[in-house]
Amino acid sequence: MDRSDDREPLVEIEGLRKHFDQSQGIIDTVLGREPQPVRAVDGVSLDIYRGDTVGIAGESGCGKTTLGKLLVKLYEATEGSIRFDGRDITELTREDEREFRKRVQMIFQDPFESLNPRMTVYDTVSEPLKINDMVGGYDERRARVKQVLEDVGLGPAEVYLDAFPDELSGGERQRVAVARALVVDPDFVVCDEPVSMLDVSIRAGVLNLMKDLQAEYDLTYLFISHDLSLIRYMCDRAGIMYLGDLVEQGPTDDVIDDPKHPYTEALFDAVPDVELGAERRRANATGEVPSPRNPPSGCRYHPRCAHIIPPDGWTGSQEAFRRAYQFKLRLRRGELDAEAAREEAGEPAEALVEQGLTLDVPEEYRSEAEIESGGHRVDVGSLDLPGDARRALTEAAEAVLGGEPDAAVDAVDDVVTTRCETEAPEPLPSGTRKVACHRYDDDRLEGIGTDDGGLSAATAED
Amino acid sequence: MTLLDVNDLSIRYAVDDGSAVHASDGVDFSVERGETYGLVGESGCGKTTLAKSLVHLLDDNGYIERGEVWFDTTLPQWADENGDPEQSVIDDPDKPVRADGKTNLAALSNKQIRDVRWRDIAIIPQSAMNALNPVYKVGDQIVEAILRHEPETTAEAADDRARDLLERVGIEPERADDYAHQFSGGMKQRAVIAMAMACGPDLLIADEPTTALDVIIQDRILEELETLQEEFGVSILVISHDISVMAEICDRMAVMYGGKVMEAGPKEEIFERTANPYTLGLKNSFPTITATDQELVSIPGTPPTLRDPDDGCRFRDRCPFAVEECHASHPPMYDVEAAESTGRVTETTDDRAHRSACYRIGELDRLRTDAVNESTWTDQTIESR
Repeated sequence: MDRSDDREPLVEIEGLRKHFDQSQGIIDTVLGREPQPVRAVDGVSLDIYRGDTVGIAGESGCGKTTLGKLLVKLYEATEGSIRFDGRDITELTREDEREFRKRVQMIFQDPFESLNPRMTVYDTVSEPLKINDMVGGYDERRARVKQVLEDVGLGPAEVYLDAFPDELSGGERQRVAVARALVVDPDFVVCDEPVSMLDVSIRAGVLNLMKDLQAEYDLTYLFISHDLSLIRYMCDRAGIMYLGDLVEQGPTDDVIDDPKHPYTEALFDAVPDVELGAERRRANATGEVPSPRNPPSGCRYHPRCAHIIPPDGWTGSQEAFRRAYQFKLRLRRGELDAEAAREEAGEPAEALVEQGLTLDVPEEYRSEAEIESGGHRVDVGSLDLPGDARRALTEAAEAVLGGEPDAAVDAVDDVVTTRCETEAPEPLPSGTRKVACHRYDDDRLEGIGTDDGGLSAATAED
Repeated sequence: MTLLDVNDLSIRYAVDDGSAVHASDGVDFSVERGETYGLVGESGCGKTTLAKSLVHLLDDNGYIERGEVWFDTTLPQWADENGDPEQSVIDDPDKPVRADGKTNLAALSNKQIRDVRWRDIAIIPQSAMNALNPVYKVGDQIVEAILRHEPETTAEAADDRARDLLERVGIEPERADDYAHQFSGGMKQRAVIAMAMACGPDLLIADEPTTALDVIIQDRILEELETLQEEFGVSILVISHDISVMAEICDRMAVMYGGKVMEAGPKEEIFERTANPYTLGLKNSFPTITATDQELVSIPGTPPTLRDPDDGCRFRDRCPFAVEECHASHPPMYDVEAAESTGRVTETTDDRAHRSACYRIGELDRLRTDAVNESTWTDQTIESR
C-alpha cells in the first residue's frame, strides 16, 4: 500500500492505558496495602491508516490482545483516547455506538471456541445482521450470508449453511469466523492471532484469503500475532510491544531487517529460520519478562537490555557497565549468594563480585571465564571496569557478606546509574519509524535519523 | 551406532463402535547415538502417539498392532556383569532380546518397561510447563525420580545430584527448595529438562519442547538442549510441528502425515532435495522471517481422520500429483538418491537413506517445478465435505 502523507488515519490511539485491578483480599484491605493493578496496556500511541495492515507483535502477556479488545470496545480504557474516523469512541452516543459496532469487527484466536456449537453456520453469520438491523427480510439475509460465505471460500454456500461447527474442520471454522466479521461490511477488523490454532498446511489459505478480502471489502486490519514471520507476511507496518507499550513501530520490512530497539533486535534474533546453514545469532537478552503488575521504572526493557547506556563520565566499556548493572539488580533482588562466595577459594568479596558480574545470556555472548565456570564467575581483570566502580562493587560485596544489604545497595547506587532506569523514553521518530529508546535521543537533537543510528556503533563497542 | 530401531510399527486406538484409529501405520526409523532426530507433522499425524508408544505411555485404548521397537539396552535381570544380555536370554525365544544386545521394547510387559523409562529413555512432556507437581519442592521431584530408578543411591547423594542437574541447566542450586509456582516459565521448562536427565538416559524424547514458550526463552531452551547433547552425548527424539525449529536442531528427520512417514532422511536432503508432494506443499505454506515478498500457498483440503482408513495413499485426496495407483495402495518408501541419479525406482529398507513414499518418485524434477506454482495446488478440485 502506498503511504501518502495526506491520508487521514482511520484509528488514532493516544496514550492508551488499560489497568486490570487485582481484586484485593480481606487481609490486604485490613493491612491497608495499595492495590497493584496489572498494567496490561500502558501508554500506547499509534495511528492506523486506511487500507493498511498493521501488525502488533510481542510475547505472551505483553498486552497485545488487550489492545485489540480496547479498539473494538470490548474493554473500556482506563486512560487515553481512541479516535475512530475522527471521533473519540469513549464519547459516542447510543446511535453512534451502533454505527461504530457495525464498522469495527474482531476475529478471535480460536475458532474451536469462538463459534457457538449450537448455532448453524447460517445462524452464526446472520446474527450480526439481525443485531444491527441491517438486512430486512429472510430471503435478503440469506442471500447476503451466502454471498459472504462464498467470498471466504466456503462454496457452494448451500453445503455449509446448515452445518454445525463440529462438522467443520479448523480452517473452515476460521473462515466462518471471518465471514461473521465481514457480513456487516466493516471498515476495520482486529484479528487476534487468527491462524495460530490452525495447522500449518491450512494457515496459508486463511492468510491469503484475508489479503484478498482486504482489497475486496476495502478493509483496514490490525493483525495481532506472536509469530514474527506471519507479521512479515501480512503487514505493511508493524509495532513491537513489550510490557504494555510499543517500543518500536514502522514499516514492517524496515523494522525486521534493521531493528533499532534492542528488544526488537533480540526478538528477531531469537526466531529460528528454515534457511539451512545460515548461522543465526542468538538473542542477547538477560532474564525473562517481568510482571506487568510491577514493571521496571524508566525504560521497561532496561534490566534485560544488551545496550544499556552507561552514565556520563563512565570510562569503562559498555559491556562492563551492563555487567555492573546486573550486579546492582542482583543486589537489589537479594540474589547474591554469600554462602557460595564464602565456599569459593580466595577472597569472598572478590568471589561475590565475580558472581554478581555474570550475564545470563547465550554462550556466544559470554566471556571465556564464564563459559569455563558454567556461567558462575567472570574474570574481573579482563573487564574494562573503571576503578571507582570496581571499588564500589567490592564495598557492596563486603557489606553483603557483613549482613548489611541496605548498605550494599547504597554503595553502588551512585556509581552504577543509567538514565534507562530513571527516565522513560518517549517514542521518537528515527528514520522511517518511531523508537522508544534513549539511544536514539540524540538523533532527534541533531536531527539525523540515519539508518544505522546508534545500534551498530554500540555493537562495535561491545 | 544405532540406539533405537523402530520397525514397521503400527499403533491403533480402539473406538467404541468397533473401528480403530490408525494413528501410526508401518513406521520405520532409527536413531543413532548422539544425534537429534525429528518427527515433524501437523496435529493428528501420529507423531506424539508414536513417541509415547516407545515407552508404553499410550492412553488406555491405544495398543501396538504390530511392529518392533529395538532399543540398545538390557533389563537388569537379563544382564551379565558388563550390562550385556546373557547368552541364555538371547537364545530364549520367549525373551525379546537380539544378539546385538538390543531389546524389543514393544514386547516388554508394563512392569519391565519401568526399568527402561527414565533410566534409558526419558520424556520431556508436551506442556512441560504443567508437568511439575505443585505441592512438592522441585528438587524433591528430581530426587524421587533418581531414587525410584537407582535405589542404591543414598538420599543425600540424590539431592546433591538434583542440585547439580539444576545448576547444569542454568538454575541456581538453592532453587531446588522452591515450589514450581515460584519458577518462571523458562525455569520450569529447564527444571523439567533437568529432571529428564536425572538418571542419565541414552534417549531424550522431547514432545513439542518449546511450543508454549516465548521466542526469546525458546531460543535459550534450544541452546540448552544442544549443550546437553554435547556434554552427555544423549540422543534426542524431538517432536514438533514447527518446521523452523526442526531445521535448526535436527540431524535427521521424518515427515509424518496421516500416521505414515511420507519422507525421511538427513535434514539437508529433506529441505534442499525435497522428494514428496506433502513436504513440498508444507514448504510452500510456511512463512519465513527472512524472505520478503513470499507467496504462501496452502495445501487444499484437510488432514484425514485415520479411522479405518482405506488402502490408498493417505495424502492422495489433497495431492495435485495423484495418479491411478495412488488410490490402490499407499506407496512404499523409495530410495530418493537412486531415483535422482539413475532414474531407477527402487524400494529401500535403509533407514539412513533419504527416502520418500511417492509413486511418482521417478519424476522428481517435474514435481518440484510444478509444486512451486500456486495453480498446481489451487486448480485441483477437492471434495471438502
